[in-house]
Amino acid sequence: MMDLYPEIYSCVGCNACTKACTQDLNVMQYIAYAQRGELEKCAEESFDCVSCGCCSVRCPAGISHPMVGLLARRLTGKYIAPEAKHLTKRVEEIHEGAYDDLIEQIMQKPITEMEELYNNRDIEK
Amino acid sequence: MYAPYPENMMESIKKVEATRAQRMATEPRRLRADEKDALLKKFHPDYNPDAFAEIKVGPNKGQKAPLELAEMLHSTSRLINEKIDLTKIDYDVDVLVIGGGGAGSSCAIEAHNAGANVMIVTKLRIGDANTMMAEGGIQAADKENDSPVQHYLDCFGGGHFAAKPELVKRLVMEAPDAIKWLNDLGVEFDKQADGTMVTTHGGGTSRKRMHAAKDYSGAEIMRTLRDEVINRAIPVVEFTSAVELIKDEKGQVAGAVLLNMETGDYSVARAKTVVIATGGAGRMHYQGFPTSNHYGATADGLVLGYRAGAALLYQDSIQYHPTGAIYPSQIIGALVTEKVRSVGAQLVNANGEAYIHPLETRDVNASGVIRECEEGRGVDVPGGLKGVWLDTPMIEILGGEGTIEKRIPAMFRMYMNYGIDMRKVPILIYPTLHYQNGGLEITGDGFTKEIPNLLVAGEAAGGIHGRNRLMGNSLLDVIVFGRNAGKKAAAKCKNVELGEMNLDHVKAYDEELKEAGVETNEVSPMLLPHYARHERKITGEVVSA
Repeated sequence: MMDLYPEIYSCVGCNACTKACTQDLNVMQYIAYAQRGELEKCAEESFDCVSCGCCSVRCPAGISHPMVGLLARRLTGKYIAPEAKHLTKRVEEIHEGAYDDLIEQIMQKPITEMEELYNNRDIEK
Repeated sequence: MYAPYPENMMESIKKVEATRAQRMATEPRRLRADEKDALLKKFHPDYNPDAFAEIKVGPNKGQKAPLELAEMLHSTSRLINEKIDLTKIDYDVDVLVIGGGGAGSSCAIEAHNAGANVMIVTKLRIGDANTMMAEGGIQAADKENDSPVQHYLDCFGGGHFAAKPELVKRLVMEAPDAIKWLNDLGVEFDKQADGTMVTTHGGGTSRKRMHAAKDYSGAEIMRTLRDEVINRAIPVVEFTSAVELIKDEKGQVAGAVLLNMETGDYSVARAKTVVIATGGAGRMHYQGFPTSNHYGATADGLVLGYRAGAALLYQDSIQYHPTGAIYPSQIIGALVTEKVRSVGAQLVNANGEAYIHPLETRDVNASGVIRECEEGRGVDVPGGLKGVWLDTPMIEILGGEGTIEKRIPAMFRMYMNYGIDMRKVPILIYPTLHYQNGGLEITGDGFTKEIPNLLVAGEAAGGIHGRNRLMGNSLLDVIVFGRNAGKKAAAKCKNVELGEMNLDHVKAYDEELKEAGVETNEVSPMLLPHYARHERKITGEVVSA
């Protein structure tokens, strides 16, 4: 944050960003989280941002609030949020060809058999 | 008493409240295959014979298309009386991507990864697209009790067994990898504390495989992709439409003529491969339906590709999302995400009856809403419209207080803007024009059959979803087929030798139209909806639109 968006530390606390937000977000608060390096909190607080930029045009410190929130979310999504192990496992299985035969089989089935399978498939509760 | 609706609607809500406890105790029955077929035939708009016309020219001659699309296919090019100097090349690239939505952006990122010189042109801005407006989620079979084969069955059956197997295969087999790719780009999916993805059902799914980022799934994906495109400094030419493809004497595509939407100037882009990623057609307002689509959804890519000789597939199959807002009037047609039903809300008619299972496929549920309204069990809305209830207070009872704000914050906000608190009262919905199931026909590798270096990705492509698309398979399709197109286009451009560029196919198409005796006095592609405040030039004379 310090490297990419050093201007966040010039915030004067006027709260014009929050007042301008079209999504009723607490914009000044998520900038405060970013200043403290609390990226997860910044990501959560800014999540509903639609990048309209109404905050930024009012900011006397020239902060690009939507960009700060976006960076916090991308860092959180990639590095901070725990890995989805079932996803990693499934991607590996597919790359190893674990489903190749099964998918070829279902692709070859005649429509009548597919209808039978589809209409009688069990649906998870 | 809290009464955000007119009196007649509040009266109906009393009936909805009276039956709520009993409805919650029993899950509505799922329809049998024959019951679904009967419902669709009687009430689905695709079965309305008056809303379709026969296509008179081109590869799909003799087939039917929605009236509005047929009119665009029967209109001539805006270049027919223009002199375009094709020797003056303004942009010269390996891969030209037409469209700046989810498919176009994924495509550009992968083409860039592969080392190609890639450029995006978009008539609006990058990210101004249906992907940005997608709410509910994205499917992928990555849980223990699920498999790509199960996903295949749901997708193929939900699409009435009409999808192309090789396309469904790519969709489901590359789905987990697409989620991982997005996750690695920093998309924040909903996860439990241990990293397990929070997944739910969508209409027609047999396993809970809907991944989401609250109800901003598309927005979260699109803003991340957009950031990535910009960070990589991939050129994006905004407010610039592709108005015609350029071909060469070998029958290859060789680029596109571009139109600056502000100045009206034309420019020429030369490219070794072209990817059409122009999205959908909601703003054509087929059959007068309101739409959930963004402003630029006018089927431009279909017209460009068709005129250049690429065939369409299932162009007569349209998806109406069962739950578009119908009240208040300011948001008519706006999407009420299917996730509202995934997390527990039932569809309830004016008498308080849960007349259908809320998670039937979209075509079935849309037909159900239309049936209830046509048979007198709809709720009257000021202005002569009708709708049925989506019983949202159930969500808070089922999931606990705060579920709505946590899981569907965008829906909550949209309604609170009009003083409607969906935690306390149900919301009123009616089907909205949502998606074109068909599009330009592609092979398993994403190429058109007719033109060897033309690819199509995203909603503009047809055949992936058959005749009905499941929730969460479109965000998946734009990522899977967008990435695939990027990789394939980058590889293909290494062996493409372009000849001399020409627009002969545009003239030939115009001749065909004349021979067929069709005249619409319009030019196509449409580019912007007719209610846009602009002037359209029609064969020399200026007509105010």
